[in-house]
Amino acid sequence: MSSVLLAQEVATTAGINPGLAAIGYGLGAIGPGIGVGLIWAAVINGTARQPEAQGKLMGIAWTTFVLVEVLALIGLVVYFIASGG
Amino acid sequence: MSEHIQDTEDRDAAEAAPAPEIDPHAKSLLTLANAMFRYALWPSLATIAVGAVVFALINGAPGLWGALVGGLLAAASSLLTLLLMRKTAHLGPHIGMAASLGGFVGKLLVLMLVMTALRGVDALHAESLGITMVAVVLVAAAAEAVAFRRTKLPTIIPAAEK
Repeated sequence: MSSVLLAQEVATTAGINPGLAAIGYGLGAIGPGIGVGLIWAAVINGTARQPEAQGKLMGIAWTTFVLVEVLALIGLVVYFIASGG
Repeated sequence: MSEHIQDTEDRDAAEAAPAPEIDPHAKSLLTLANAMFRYALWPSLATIAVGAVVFALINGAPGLWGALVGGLLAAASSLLTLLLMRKTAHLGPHIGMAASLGGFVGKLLVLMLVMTALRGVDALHAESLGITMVAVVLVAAAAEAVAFRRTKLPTIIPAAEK
């Protein structure tokens, strides 16, 4: 009896897994979005205060943008694998 | 006569003035973009090759194709960032922000659609695709960070303040 229940539970879990994966992907995209916004907000602030540092600040911004973006791409891959490939 | 002198002076000034230069900020950003591309290219390709070989041995043909598709998607996403960086180098940081956030949204949307479309394809092994993609993205980001570390970005002092 319990094994039947367990099997049903497994089937139900497998059924909702793709939906959960999509929600997880959405959540995973939030953090990098905030991160990228903060990075560029700081660059715009810094450039307004010190225009001669613009090139330097934008170089830092693009590099950190690449690093932050990796998080979103990892979330995408986890979504792909968790949703059943 | 005085008009003539004025004219000559103007012409001399025009000849003496240097050719219009590219914005120094844009120049330093383009240098950085070139360095990032140079540093990231070969490690990314090597990671794709290693992933393809390893997953071909483990999972056969689906592993090979999965690793190749995953690696190419990751490489394309890295290249898009560098392309955006080059295209917005001569514009202000507000345009840079719009471009990078827009590129981020567009890239994630396209990748999500592509990944959803690839979900049911039996010819591709999902784990091979995902792991290769993460590996290539990580390697490219690390290489770009190293390129940033080794590229000297100048602080530009405007000519008027010298």
